[in-house]
Amino acid sequence: MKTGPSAKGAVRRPDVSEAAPSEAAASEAAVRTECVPRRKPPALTVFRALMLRDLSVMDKSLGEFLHHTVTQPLLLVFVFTFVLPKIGQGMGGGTEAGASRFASLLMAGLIAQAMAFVGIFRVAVPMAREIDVTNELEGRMLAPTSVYSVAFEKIAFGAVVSFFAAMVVFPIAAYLPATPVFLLIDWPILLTVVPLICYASAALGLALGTVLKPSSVPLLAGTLALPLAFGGAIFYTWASLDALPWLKYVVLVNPIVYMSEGMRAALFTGVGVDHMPLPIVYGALITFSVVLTFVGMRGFKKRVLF
Amino acid sequence: MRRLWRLVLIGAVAVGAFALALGRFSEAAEKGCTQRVRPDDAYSVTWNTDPRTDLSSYRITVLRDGKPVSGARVCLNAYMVGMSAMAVTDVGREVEPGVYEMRLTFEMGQTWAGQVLISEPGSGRLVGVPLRFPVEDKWGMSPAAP
Repeated sequence: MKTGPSAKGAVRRPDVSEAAPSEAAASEAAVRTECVPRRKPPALTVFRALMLRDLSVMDKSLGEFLHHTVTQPLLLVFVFTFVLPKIGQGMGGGTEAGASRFASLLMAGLIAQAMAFVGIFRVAVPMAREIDVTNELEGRMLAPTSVYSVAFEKIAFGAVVSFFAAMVVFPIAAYLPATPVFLLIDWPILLTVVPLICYASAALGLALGTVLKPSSVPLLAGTLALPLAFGGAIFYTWASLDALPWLKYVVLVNPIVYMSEGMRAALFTGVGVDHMPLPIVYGALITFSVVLTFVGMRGFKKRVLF
Repeated sequence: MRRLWRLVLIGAVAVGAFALALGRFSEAAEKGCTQRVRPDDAYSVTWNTDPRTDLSSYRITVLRDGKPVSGARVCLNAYMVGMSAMAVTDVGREVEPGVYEMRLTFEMGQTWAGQVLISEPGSGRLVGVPLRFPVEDKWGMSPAAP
């Protein structure tokens, strides 16, 4: 039998054809360990494995996830569209038509807010925990794929969770308000703007999670979330800020403005409800997605390599 | 996927709830006269009494190609320009051929805008007539002309 290392460093299998049958079988069985160059698994396989891992973790902490996703939009809808109209302090001039119109305007903004905040916090906060507390990030980097692929999977997972949050708000909007809510879907706009919003939110989460110090990320809820929410055209349309022209242009740096206006365009909320022109909405969301992805991936690489 | 059964179940419930919500929104839009329709120039709507803040009942005349539209479902939805949460809506009751009575209360005098939706029996079509009209304040301060 010929054995020994080959020119490429692999141990050559013994030539069993020359041996007796019993010896051949033993040789075959014995040659279980051999050094051969391994091929890297396809990037898609690794991506799928990482995603399944994250979904499994979320499956096990579903209660916490539902609590974080549902609580804020539920409370906002409950107070603004159920409690206030019932106690006679509703928006809309005290008429049911006015209250319905306000509730409809509000819903588009709340759906955008739910997507945005879930996307941001489901990426940023676990990232901070993985860097600072559990050191899970080192485990992730053992995956046989590039750093950028691991970062992209984080964005993709955040986008999926953000999409789920949007679906949860729709039934809340349909059944909780004291007055009817008018949302008529423009499907081409909805099916294109929602994935953009989900992606942009998750990319913003990655950027914040990697740029900020891990100890600062949990403070996001108080320091960043409130300005984003109240300056995000959630409770009012961007066009109605004509009365405050300085504010109308200051809020344009807030990505949530474009998300809210995009949802208002996708969900016809009543006659005469203006929304930002669609080319501006799409252009801004695409720009934010690209820039935030770049910033987030660069920050992620710095975090894991240093 | 078996280990994600909770997630799959929640996802299925969310999809079902979303579908039910869509139906509810459509019903609300129909009742609230806020469906999205293309205007039809063949139809015209005129107020029998100019809108004022101290009135609560109005009659409108609906014509198609100059002829009264009878037996149709007519509803009106209007909002105050510049204060879009202030709105009125009602479904009309035909009192004469082509004349429909509605109960509307305009809280403030200003320019209002909206639409009248008309669905004639047997046509299967919903058409809209856009509106823009002034509402006179009860104190006599006439708003700017639309």
